[in-house]
Amino acid sequence: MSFDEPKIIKQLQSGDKRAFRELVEATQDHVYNTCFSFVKNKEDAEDIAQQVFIEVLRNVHKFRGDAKLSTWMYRIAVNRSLNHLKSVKRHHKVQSLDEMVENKRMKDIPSTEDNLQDPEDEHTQRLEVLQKTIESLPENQKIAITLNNFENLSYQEVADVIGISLSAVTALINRAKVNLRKKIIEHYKKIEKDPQGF
Amino acid sequence: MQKQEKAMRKTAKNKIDNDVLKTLDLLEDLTQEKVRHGFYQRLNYQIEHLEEEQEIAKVSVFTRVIRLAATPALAAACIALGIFIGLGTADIKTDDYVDTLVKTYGIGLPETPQLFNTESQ
Repeated sequence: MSFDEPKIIKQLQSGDKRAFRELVEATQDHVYNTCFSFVKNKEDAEDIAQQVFIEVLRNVHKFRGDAKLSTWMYRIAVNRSLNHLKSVKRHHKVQSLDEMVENKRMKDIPSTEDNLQDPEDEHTQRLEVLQKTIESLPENQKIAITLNNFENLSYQEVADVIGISLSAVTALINRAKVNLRKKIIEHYKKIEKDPQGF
Repeated sequence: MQKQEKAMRKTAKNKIDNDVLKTLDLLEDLTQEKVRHGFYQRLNYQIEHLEEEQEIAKVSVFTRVIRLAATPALAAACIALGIFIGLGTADIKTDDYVDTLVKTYGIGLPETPQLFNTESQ
């Protein structure tokens, strides 16, 4: 996110609408991308991104500048996205665990036969496998790896957004990568063993 | 036969390794999503809409306060009106009663309102 933060904060606090537009235009893709990387749905991601900007507009007068504005915005985006995911999960709670597992097998995981048809499909399906595996990570690991890889935030920036130390973020991302590798290996082994089952 | 199985297993393992590597490589190359055109306009519309809703909410709070304050005053006014009307009706009823007595028994009050003759004293 590149903009003159102190200047824009002052302008926003004095109710300058042009400054708000400037902020939105400079950061909309980052905010949207962050939301999308969690919710994986374009409409929902846009709704959440809008909520993020509305929250910024409403609370900017309280912003004391202890953290960077972008860090604050990422934090709001992550929190809103996770809350959205939780509410979606609550709505689908009626679905039994068995049904979920079965649906996951049927719908989410692509078959190897199809995988090898078209290189573009292969890429899309690998991406899908990666995203599904990221989703299955513990929450903190998911946030850290998402911000680091989808938004290209540095470890320090990720630490600022989550509110933990740099060393903790380093450990978190390393653990996340180890877990990802394990889960992806398991996934492809399952497919190899039972290609019809998926 | 064993050789064939071994070769197949090796091929399968290589394939898994390849898939895992390629999938993990994507981690470094994740696509950046971009908002649809007109995001700011839609956001601005939503903000204006919210502001309007807040205005309506403010008015309704004001109305509620007024209503709350007006209720006891209105009740008091109704009671007062009731008493006033009630007393008026009672007066009318008393007048009617006197008229009936006069007509039936010829009882009446003297024409002059003076009950005692103060002049003779």
